[in-house]
Amino acid sequence: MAHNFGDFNPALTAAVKRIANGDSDAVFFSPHAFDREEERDIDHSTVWSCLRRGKVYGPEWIDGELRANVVHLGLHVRVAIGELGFDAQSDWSELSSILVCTVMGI
Amino acid sequence: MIQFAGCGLDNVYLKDGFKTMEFKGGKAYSYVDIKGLYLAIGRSLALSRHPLSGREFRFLRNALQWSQTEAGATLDKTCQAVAKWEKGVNPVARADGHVIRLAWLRRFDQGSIVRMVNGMFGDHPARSVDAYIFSRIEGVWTSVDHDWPVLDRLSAVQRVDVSGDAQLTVDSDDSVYEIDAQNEYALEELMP
Repeated sequence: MAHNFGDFNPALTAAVKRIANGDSDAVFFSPHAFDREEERDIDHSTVWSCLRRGKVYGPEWIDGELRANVVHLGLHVRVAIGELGFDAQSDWSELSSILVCTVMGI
Repeated sequence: MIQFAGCGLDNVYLKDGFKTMEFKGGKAYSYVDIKGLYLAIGRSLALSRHPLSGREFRFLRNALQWSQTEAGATLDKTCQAVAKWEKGVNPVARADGHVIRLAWLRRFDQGSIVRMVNGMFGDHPARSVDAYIFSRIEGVWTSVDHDWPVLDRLSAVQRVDVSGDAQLTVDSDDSVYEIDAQNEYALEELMP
């Protein structure tokens, strides 16, 4: 199955890596992400690995919400952008936290 | 107190050391020093004495970054056997649980290997752990579950002043343990 995660975003990739490699309390997990992790038998450390090493695509509008997609080794982590006060044209160097919305296998 | 289900275990709870953010009517959570938290959980599992559950085995295996095949090779089992343990189809053999505990301690906490080995041969019955509870104490993730005889016992042993007697008797709560001076010396050699 082909996946379309949007365009590769090197600046946002750098920002996500910077945050994921910094203090862990800057990475938030939503209740939905918890549920999907349990349902799909994925644990936080795997998600963390994806955030640290993955490529970020987007952000793009999904069901009226601005989301970016982090992809690494068969794992797809969707992170919230709009809820953190950013938009598609933001300066990603100012991003200081990550909010994980959901996690999926590819 | 919140449940820390994200580690793959359903009986880990945090008293503090987390932050919350409102998100879509619910709460999103982040954790302080998650690496330290994973180490504290691993140490608790490694020093416990009950037969490991499949999820607990998987937690330690993941921390060691072993594949199921690598774990199976170490334990002289097939990767399918390991997969069945982790899915809960078959119970983890007690001895295999001890081996992966030792492997974890060897990698992350060599100073506690003697504690673990003493616990293996301890007199107390191995009780299952209903809940692992952790708290940030002086900036370090610490287990606040004191329901482990092996830890109580060793903390008592460490308080003993070695007087050179051939035999030492150590009182620990309601039980009495005896160790000889030579073993005490070996213990001090290995403790950090």
